[in-house]
Formats: sequence, C-alpha cells, structure tokens
Amino acid sequence: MRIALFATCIVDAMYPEVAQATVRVLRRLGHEVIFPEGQSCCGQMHINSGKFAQAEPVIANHVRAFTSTEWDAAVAPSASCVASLSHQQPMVARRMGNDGLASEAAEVADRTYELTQFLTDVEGVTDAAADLGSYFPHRVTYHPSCHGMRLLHLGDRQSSLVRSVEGIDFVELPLADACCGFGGTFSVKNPEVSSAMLADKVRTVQATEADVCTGGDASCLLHIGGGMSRFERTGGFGGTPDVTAVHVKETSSTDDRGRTTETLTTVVGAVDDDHLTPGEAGTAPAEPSSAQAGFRVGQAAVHLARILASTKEDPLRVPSEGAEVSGGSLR
Amino acid sequence: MTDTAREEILARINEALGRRGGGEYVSSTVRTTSASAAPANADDVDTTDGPAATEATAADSGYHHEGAHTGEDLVDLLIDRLVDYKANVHRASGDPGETIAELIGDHSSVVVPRGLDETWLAGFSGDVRVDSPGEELSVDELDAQGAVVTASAVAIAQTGTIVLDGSSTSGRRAITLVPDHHVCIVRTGDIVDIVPEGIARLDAHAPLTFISGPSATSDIELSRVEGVHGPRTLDVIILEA
Amino acid sequence: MTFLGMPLLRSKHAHSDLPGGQGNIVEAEAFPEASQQHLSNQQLRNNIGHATSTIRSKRAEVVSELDDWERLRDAGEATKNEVMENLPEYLAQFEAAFTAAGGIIHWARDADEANAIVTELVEDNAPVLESGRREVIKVKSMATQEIGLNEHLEAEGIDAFETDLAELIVQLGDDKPSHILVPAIHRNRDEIREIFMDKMPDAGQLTNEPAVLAEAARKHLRHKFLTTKVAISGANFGIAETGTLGVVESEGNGRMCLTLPETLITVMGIEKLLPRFADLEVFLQLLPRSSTGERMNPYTSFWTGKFEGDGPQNVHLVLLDNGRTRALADEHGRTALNCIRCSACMNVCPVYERTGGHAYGSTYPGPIGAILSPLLTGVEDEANGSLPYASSLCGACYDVCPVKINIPEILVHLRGEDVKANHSPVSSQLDAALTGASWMMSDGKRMTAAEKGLPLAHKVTGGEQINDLPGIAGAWTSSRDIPALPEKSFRQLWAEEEADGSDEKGQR
Repeated sequence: MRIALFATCIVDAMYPEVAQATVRVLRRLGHEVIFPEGQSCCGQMHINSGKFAQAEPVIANHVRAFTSTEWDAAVAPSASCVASLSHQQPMVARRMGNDGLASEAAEVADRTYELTQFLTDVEGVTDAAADLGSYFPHRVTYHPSCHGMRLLHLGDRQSSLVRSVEGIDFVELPLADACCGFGGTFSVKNPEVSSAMLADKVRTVQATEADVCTGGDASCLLHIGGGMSRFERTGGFGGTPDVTAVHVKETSSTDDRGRTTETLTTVVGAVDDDHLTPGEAGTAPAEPSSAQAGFRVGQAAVHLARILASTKEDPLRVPSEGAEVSGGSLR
Repeated sequence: MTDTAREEILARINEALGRRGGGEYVSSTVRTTSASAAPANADDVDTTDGPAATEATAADSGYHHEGAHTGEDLVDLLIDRLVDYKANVHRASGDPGETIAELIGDHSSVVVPRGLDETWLAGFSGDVRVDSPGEELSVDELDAQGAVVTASAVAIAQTGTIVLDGSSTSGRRAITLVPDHHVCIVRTGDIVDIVPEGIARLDAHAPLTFISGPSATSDIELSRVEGVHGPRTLDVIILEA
Repeated sequence: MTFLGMPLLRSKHAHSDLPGGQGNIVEAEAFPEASQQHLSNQQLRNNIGHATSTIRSKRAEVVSELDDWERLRDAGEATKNEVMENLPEYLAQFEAAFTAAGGIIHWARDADEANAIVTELVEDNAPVLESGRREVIKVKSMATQEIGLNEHLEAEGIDAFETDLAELIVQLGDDKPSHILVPAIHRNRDEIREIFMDKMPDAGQLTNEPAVLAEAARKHLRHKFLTTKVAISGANFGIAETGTLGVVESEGNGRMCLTLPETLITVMGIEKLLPRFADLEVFLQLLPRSSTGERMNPYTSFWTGKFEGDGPQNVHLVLLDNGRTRALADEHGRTALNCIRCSACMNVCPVYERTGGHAYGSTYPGPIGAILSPLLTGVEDEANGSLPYASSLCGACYDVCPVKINIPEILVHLRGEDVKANHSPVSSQLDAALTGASWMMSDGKRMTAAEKGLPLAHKVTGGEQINDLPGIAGAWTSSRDIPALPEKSFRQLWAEEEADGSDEKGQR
C-alpha cells in the first residue's frame, strides 16, 4: 500500500522521532510511505478557539496537500487530529459556506486512519511482538486520549497493541479515562483548572511506578510529561494549589495457585474507606497527599509509535538506562 | 396581559424556527400552521402538518417494547428489584387477608380506599377507616393512621415499580402518602416486564403515582438513604389471582 | 414580503433579535477567575470528588443493564427534536388539553413576568399568617431557581419553604445550589449536620449519619406539608397530547406538595414538552438511570389539570420563555433545549469535578450550563462568553447525555459566536498567536520556512527544556515544563533523507 503520512504539526515540529517511528512501523509491514509536503495542521487549534475563519485556510491547505498526490490510506500518529478531520473540518467548511471544501475534507478524512486504527482494522495486527517485532522490556502505563476514546472509539486497540509488545510490563493507569487537562487552548484559557486536572493525572502515573507513560496523542503526552517534569523538579505544580481528591493505593491479592497480583485502586474524595462509614469521622478533608511519596525520578512520557518501533536490535532506551528526558518527554 | 405574552412567545418561536414573518402563531382552537399568512415559499418555511404527522418518530429507533420475562421469572424479577430498593416483599395466593393482618397487626387504625375487597381486612382487629368520595379523611386523620392498605394498577418488574392510578382500589393520592406504612397488593396478572409495557396499560388522564421502594434520598454525599417524607415502610404483597 | 425570485433564508441570525433570558443565569465574573477560589478548597474537592465518583459508577451499572440503551438515547433525541420543530403546535395542543382538564395556563415572557404571575396567585390563595406573611411550600425546580422566585417572593412578603432535602440544606445554609440534581453536593455530612443543628431549633442533638439527617428534615417539614395551602413546583415533563404534567422525585416531598395543598402553581419552561403520553416509556428509562443512577426513582407523579376529590382543586401552570426562544433561534445550539436536567454531564465532567458548580455563576452549572446559560442570554451578557471555554472538550458529557446533546460541538460553536461578538480592538496575545499560526499553517511552505528556525531556537534555548516563558505562554509554563525543541523538524529530516536517497532512520 502507498501510505501518506500525516505527521501532524506538533509531531512535525516537536517530536520528529514519533513520525520516524511511525514510518518505521509502516515500512516494517511492507508499505511505501510518502509525506505530502504541503501538509501542516488539521486546524483543530483554531476551530476549538472558535476561529472558524482562520481555520478555513488551514483546512484548505490540508485538503490541498492530501489531494495533490495519490495514496491508498493516510495514517497519523494522533487520534485527536484524525478525529478533527472527520468531526470538525467538514463542519467548519460548511459553516464558512464552503460546501466544496467540506465534501473534499470529508473524503480525505474517510481514508485517514489513526496509527493503531490502521494497524488493527486494516492490517489485522493483533500481536505487536510477532507482527512488528516490537520489544520493550520495561514497566509501561497507558493514558487513552479523550478523542481516541470518545471520537474515534478506539476501544482497546491501543492498549492491546502495547500489551502485546515483547517483554513489556503493562500496568493499568488508575482513572485512566480521566482527561489530562490539555484541551488545546483550554490549558491557556483556563490554566489553573487545566493544571488541577494534570496534577491528578501525574499522581496516578506516579502511582503506577512505570518507567514510561505512553499514549497515542503527542499533545496529551506533551502535557503529562510537562507536568511530570515540573513535579520532579519542584515537587509541585507552580501556582496550582496543592489540593487533590484522588488517592491511589496498592492492594495485593493472592489467587489459589499462590500467585500474587498487585492492583491499584483509587479512592476519590477521602483518604480511605473508613471515612465513609456513618458515624465515623465523616469525609473530613484528606491530609494533602501532595508531594508525596513514590515519585519515580526519571519517569517520562513517550508516544506508543516509538514503543511499537522499538526492537531487540534497535531498542528504545528508558531513563534508568540513561535515555535523555526533556520536559518530561523521552527523547 | 398574559394573552399578549402568549402571542408574543408563540411569535418568537415561529421566528426562531425560521417560519416566515415571525408574527404567525397558532391558536388553541385551530391547530394549523401559517398557511393563511403571507404566501409561502416552499424553500423558506418549515411546513408542519402539526403533531400528527410525526407520530411514529420515537418508536422507530428500535428499543424494546416488550420484555422477555414471563411466569415465575417475571415475578422473581419484580421481587428482586423491589427488595433491591428496600421494599419488603410477601407472597399470597387467593386471600391475602392473613398476610395483611400480620403486617398491620401492630397498628390501631388503618385506612383503605373504598374499592378494596373488605374481606382482606377481616383478620385485622383494629379500626378500618374507609376513604371514599364525600367521606374523605382529613389530612390530620390520615396522619393518625398507622398504615394504608391498597391494591395497585400495574407493576413493572424490571424497575421494581408499582403504579397507583387513583381508582377505587388504588385510592386517592393522599391516603398512600401521609400514613408512614404502605401495604400494597400487586396481582400477578398486573405485572409487566419493562417500562413500555407498563406505560401502555395506563390512562394518562388519571392521577398517577409511580412508586419504586419506600421514599429515599441521595442528597447527602449521594449515599442512598431510605425513608424521608413518604411512607418509610413499603410492604408489597404479590397475590396469585 | 419577499423580494422577487429570492427565497428567504432561514433566519440564521434571528437570535440576535430575540430577547435573552434574565435572572440567575449569568456569570458575573469570568470562569477562570470565578473558579480560582474553588480550586484551592480541599473540602470542596473531596466532597464533589466523592459524590461524583459514587454517582458515576451507579449510573454506569444501571445503564449497562439495558441492552437497548443506545436505541433509547436515539429515541430520546428524536423525540425532543420533534418537539422543538413543532413547538408552537405542541404548546397549543398542551394548552388546550390542560385547560380542558380544569387547569389554568399563564404565559411568561421572562423572569419578571413569571415572578409577578406567581406572586399574584399566591396572594390570591395563601392566607396571611399571624406573622403578617404568607407561606408556600416548594418542590425543587430549576425553572424557579433560574428566575429567582424565592428572592422575589420574600420581598413580597411570602416565605417559600424548599422541601427537597438538598434544597433545604442550601436554603438553611444561606447558600447557593451548585448542582441541578443534588444542589448541596458541595456539602458533606459534617457540614450538613452543623447547618441543621444551627438552623433547626427543635432538631436536638444530631449525628452526621445521612439517615439521622434525613429524619431531622422529615420532622422539620412535616407540619408545613400538612397545613400549607399553596405549593409551587416545576415539572419534568408536559405531555402535549393529554395536558399531563409530571414530577420525578425521591423523597416524597414532591408528592406532598402536589397532593395536599389546595392550590398548585407549576412553573415550566416551554421546552419541557413531550408529544405523547407513550413517550414516557423512553424518558422514564432515560432520566432515572442517568440522573440518580437508579432503575427508577422512588416516586413519580403525573397530573392532568385537577381531579375531583383528589389533590389541589386550583391548578395553575406558568409557561416560561426567559431566553428559550433565543436559544431555539440558534440552529447550531438549539439542541441544548432538549436537556432533561438529569445532571449526568456534570457528574462526569473533569472541570466540574474540580471547580464545583458555583464557578459557573448560573443555575445551570457543568457542561450543560456552559452551553445553556450563554444560549439563553447570548454570549455578550456579562461573563457568559467565558463559559464555552470552560471545557477541555474531552467529550465525556456527550457520551452520557441521555438525549445525545453534542455538548462539545455546541461549546465550539459558541466559542465561534463569542469570537464574532467580541469586537475588542486589542487582540489578546493568544489571538495574535493563533492569527500568526493560521497564516503559517495555511501553507506547507510557510510551515517549512518557519521550522527552518528550529536549529536557531534550539540553540537559543541551549537545547534545554523550557521551564519559563513570558506572556500567555507563561500560563502553560506556570505548572508544566516543555521539552527542548528538536534541532530539525520531521519535515526537514524527511527532505534530507529523500535527498540522500538512503533512509537510515526510516529503515527497520
């Protein structure tokens, strides 16, 4: 297949290694990868800011870039940008009275896949170790992006592929489906609320003691990594009040064959269940659990394309192996 | 004053819906759209034939209109759901009198609606006050009753819901509200499986009360607590008839 | 009049002509500022976090019991759309049926008019007590909260007693509701105990057990229920076909108010109609499961006008516009009127979970409030233009909405309306940045050119991560770091690879 890579603006400018990993994975399956050069951005940033007039030329550019060459499928390492193509671009074009652009945008969107959507639905990849040679012997937790879950309905496509990587120690992220608080310009328009959400996300990632937190959207990972980095450097989130209602604890259970499973359970709103018993202390405020124990120095965020691209021959290194971490992102 | 408000609100709605002119409205006697107003251009007016035109819309989406439970399964489901919402459930066949007597034995006086089979109260030694048209108990009298015993119109198994319809056996609404203990008889023939089947059996023009367990609140920390203003004890007798 | 050969377009901008609503639906202070004090309140975060996580799992459980849930949502959506498209006809049909059954209908264009109508009805029907004041009992109603009825009545010498437990907590605590289903969700049992001990002189010693507190409320209100002559309610549904009104509740306070008084005054928004009685088969499944997470709420009452010998004999209904027609005129936002006030959207909202409902400044908080309030008033009204931005667009609200209101899409639409309405000559830094980005991103070549600056930017920042930026970007770096910029963009690396003819990075 001839595959057009839609790198997305954030990956292009900030995480070129994610696009490279995506290319590597696609080539490993025997595909030809092209990069339509005129591409820039899906326009989501402008659309979500209500600037439809400014979004229109960005949409037009995307359509122009992806209709100027022949390809069988387009693939992007981002659920959010792929969702914007189908959910937002045609709508905005129509709102601007540009029905022609709307239908062209819808056509491009129809043939554009998020990476794991393509791997699972088109290629039938179910075992990353076997089908892609993916190898990553480290503890990994996974944050599903809101747009992946709720707009593309990716379900467990991403987590299944990550779980099937050889050597991986996958640990569930508590309250995984909670938004990290990025939301594009939300994090700038409502920075305090956004970082309150981020703080809880970082706390749950910490609790997993994973080497890396992965996901399918560079924007969320930029955000989560940025929070982890700030927390590691300063023990807090700057101006964000040191307040949380999220408490994660580890419980272990032993099955009849004597195997012990450790699971992370979350209590929201009180330190532990005892406080919810009538007549007891009530839901008195929890001790601020803030800075908190257990932060694993060197935790980093990394896009799942790089984990899938990692092989025994050319493994992706983690912080404890000396890999560079910048702003909370694995380089 | 309010008439003007009526005209204006209806005119606003027409304008909001993009119906031409914005000054057209429908009167309560002639239910049509604005056909008689300015000549309509088919492109710009939402032609509406009135409510009847879209009658089937809701039913089209393919949700269940009937449940799959029957017979004893159906009764079991109802019992399960009633118990889940903290109603007490009892079973009787033929004559529920003995069960009723046991349940209300501690009270000195109970109220019943006029149509309730009086033999059902034969085993009760206290006062039985019959609430009937022209001889309604006052609110204070109702407040003095230990319990109320009624029948019911429909029971919906899936949700554990009993419906009273103001009939002579369900009673006027106040009698099942003020006393703190409600004993309610559900005939097995009145049990349906799911909500649509229950609604289909009801008359909209009757005063309807849907009861699912005793009164409850979740207003404190969203923890459910049973027993607030309505009857705090709900005894349901499922009667094989 | 039409111009020759020119069909009139559907009135796209009609909403600008229609008057907005008034009352408790405007945010006085912009959301970012209004939310700040709440964000640092540990108690509030605990209370709301605990309550919303409890209700989320309850809802998920009862929804999963129905294998036709999605089809019920489709039916709910279709039915409400049908209502809005035929609203004049359904209102007329409802009016005729309700009137035929002995009820009296009043129409109110706005909050002031509705308050005046209710006041007059109370004055006509409630006796003046020894205190020189009149009394009414109330069932929880969003519409009366919206129009500020209690405050208005109080000024007119009428004391309105809220009878819903949560509303009672709010009223006794001299507080404001922060949630549409559980107005006192921001209070925990200890705080409620204190309020009751303080404000219920005859309550005696109370513990913080919910059962004990509920019992105290029962005793406190019992006499009022049995003696008050006039009750005021809202309505969850009005059935056009039959003129029937319905109230969905839990505690029995609704039944008390709807049954025992002589006069019943209901205030209902014009959008609350359902076409047919049979439509309840859908909505009585959607609402309780979405709302309290129960298969069915303990009590639901339906009444059609008055019934001889049963319940109030003097039955009134105030049909309220107060900005609803303005919302209806917005063809991209009107589905917000389909809301059945279940509160599922606020229970799953990560923003609401952290700010609580007071930050939204309106009777309607959370995701639905962030669209409904500015739709009712217009985005220009006070700080309501800040509400559509009070969301990360995570979409959790849309997923749980029982009538499938696409809240994220309407939020984005209203941001567009806010941009249009905001004629401020000085554009913010964010605006300027977005304008620049639009120019750059409208052309891949410009993007390429811009990214040629990366090596320089990389050098300027010393190849280090970025921890502190000036201006609006500082909002980001106030609590997050940014990775070091790469030396080269992917685009450049790709071009180099193409030029080399080799693809070392890309090869397996």
